[in-house]
Amino acid sequence: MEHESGRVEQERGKDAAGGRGSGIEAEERVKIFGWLVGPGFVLLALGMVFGLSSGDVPSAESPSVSATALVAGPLRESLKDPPMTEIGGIEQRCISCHQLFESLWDGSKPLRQHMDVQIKHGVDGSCYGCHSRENREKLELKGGELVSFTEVARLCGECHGPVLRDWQRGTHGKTLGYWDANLGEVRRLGCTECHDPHSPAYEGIIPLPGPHTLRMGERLNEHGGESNRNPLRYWQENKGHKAESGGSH
Amino acid sequence: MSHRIYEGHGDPVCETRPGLTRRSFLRRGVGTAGGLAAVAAALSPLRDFDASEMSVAGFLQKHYKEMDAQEMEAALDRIREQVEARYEVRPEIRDIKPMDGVEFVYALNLSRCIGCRKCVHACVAENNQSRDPEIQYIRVIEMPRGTTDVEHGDHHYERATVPDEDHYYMPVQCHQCANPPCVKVCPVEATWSEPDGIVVIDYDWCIGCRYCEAACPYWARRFNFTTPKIPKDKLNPNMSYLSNRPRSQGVMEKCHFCLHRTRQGKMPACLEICPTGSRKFGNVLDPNSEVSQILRTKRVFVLKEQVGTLPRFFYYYDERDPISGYSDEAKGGQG
Ligand code: SF4
Repeated sequence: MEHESGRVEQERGKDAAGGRGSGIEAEERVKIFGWLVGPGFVLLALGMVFGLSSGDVPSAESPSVSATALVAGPLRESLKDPPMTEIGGIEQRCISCHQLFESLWDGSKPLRQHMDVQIKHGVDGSCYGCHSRENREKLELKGGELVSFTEVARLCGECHGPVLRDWQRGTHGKTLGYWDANLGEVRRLGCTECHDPHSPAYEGIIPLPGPHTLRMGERLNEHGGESNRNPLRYWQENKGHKAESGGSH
Repeated sequence: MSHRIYEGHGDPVCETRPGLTRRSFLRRGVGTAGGLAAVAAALSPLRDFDASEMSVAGFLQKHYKEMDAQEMEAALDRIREQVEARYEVRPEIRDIKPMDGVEFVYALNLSRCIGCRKCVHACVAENNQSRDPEIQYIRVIEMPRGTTDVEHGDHHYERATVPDEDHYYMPVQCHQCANPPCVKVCPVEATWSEPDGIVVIDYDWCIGCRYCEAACPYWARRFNFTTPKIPKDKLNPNMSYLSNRPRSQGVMEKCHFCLHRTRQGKMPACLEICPTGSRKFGNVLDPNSEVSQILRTKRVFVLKEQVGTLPRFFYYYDERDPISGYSDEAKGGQG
């Protein structure tokens, strides 16, 4: 309205200069006109808000992320004490076999048992770098001390000192449960709940789908184009519109 | 429209109205019509406005900080009914308050993150973000090694497998700054910093001006341009007032450190899903918490430190980087 009255002043000045009429009547009319503009806007706004509502049903085609990809928890199951393993469909203790048969393997021949084990770890590829030759339900530290599978961190830490130190502080590894022991169980996962001890380096994994949202910048990689960047992709498809930037995949 | 009527009558009309020349009247008429058209255009998104999201009680509700327990309960009841009507799910919704002696901090290990984007989608599922159009709080940026300049990063990487050995991955989400620019610019105080450090939004108070979105140097805020859509079977019924209750069109939202979980001692959803343990969360006021240990013993930095936002979200590195292959020895699997 301020702007409007400013203009009125201007008009009046011009009229006076032109020597046309008194200007009082004009002012009245402009005022009436101005008074009508305000309610006009309000009516328009009300019409927009209440007159034309179209209430969409809240359903949506979800981006293709399978529910199983989003199950939180340890990546693998680690061995307990005593360690159990499935042989012939039955859960068995290691000693069920190993106290019957003495292990004669000397590292020279390929394995005939435990053939799923691929060793990409350690310095000489030998089982006995970690496993005890005498007691198959234990692991063996460098000094000869036997530890159970639940204490595997002590064994790993013999080579990976800084990582063990970080894990003890909580700066390496994953912690599930609660962030404070006073509130609930703090479950700091052990080495073998993430890493396969026979092949501990992480393999590459398939990433989940990229964004179709606003404010994600330009595509920089070799795939180029805007084709995968359309925040309204599903919305447009649901409404029967063709996605403008061809973003339908 | 109006100016044509006067045009038909010609000059005499104007001459009988001294002071209101034909030209000035035309100008004003055109201006008014233009103004109305502009307002109509600006309001046109409201045509898609879903009236079921509106209620008189919601409109008349007080500001979050001014509501007493009874008024909050009434508000929660209203939300329960709205959610049930819309999604056919009865939500468990509460107003969960911050704990005493707790200040939350997040830390993310850039040496470990492999860019799998699991955190992004776990967050969407936990926090009832719109699937259509898609809204995501976490951005995972693929960065060339040797720079922390996000201008060189790519959000849209598509690879058969990650990580790529020439890149590292930097997830970015709300940093819950101790000096939050988004809070300063909000004209209606719909967003503020809570005592535990979480910057929250009252979705019923937000007017959707998007000032905060512009103010955030981390691109952490998201706006609901349309009515958000969530499949009914995907709605997470475990909600709280200031976090993951369903939002409506025209309001802002962002990461809130999963406060409906974390204020009850649990970990945020993005942390629980992370397959690499890159994400760490806890109470920085507890000297023995994991995040305190990280701040004390790791090399830590914050993003865009120079803008003075004082984030509560820290990035850190390990001494040796298992992904880049810091040495030949590392390729033997020191990871
Ligand atoms: S889930 Fe973990 S590893 Fe995957 S992108 Fe997120 S932070 Fe990185």
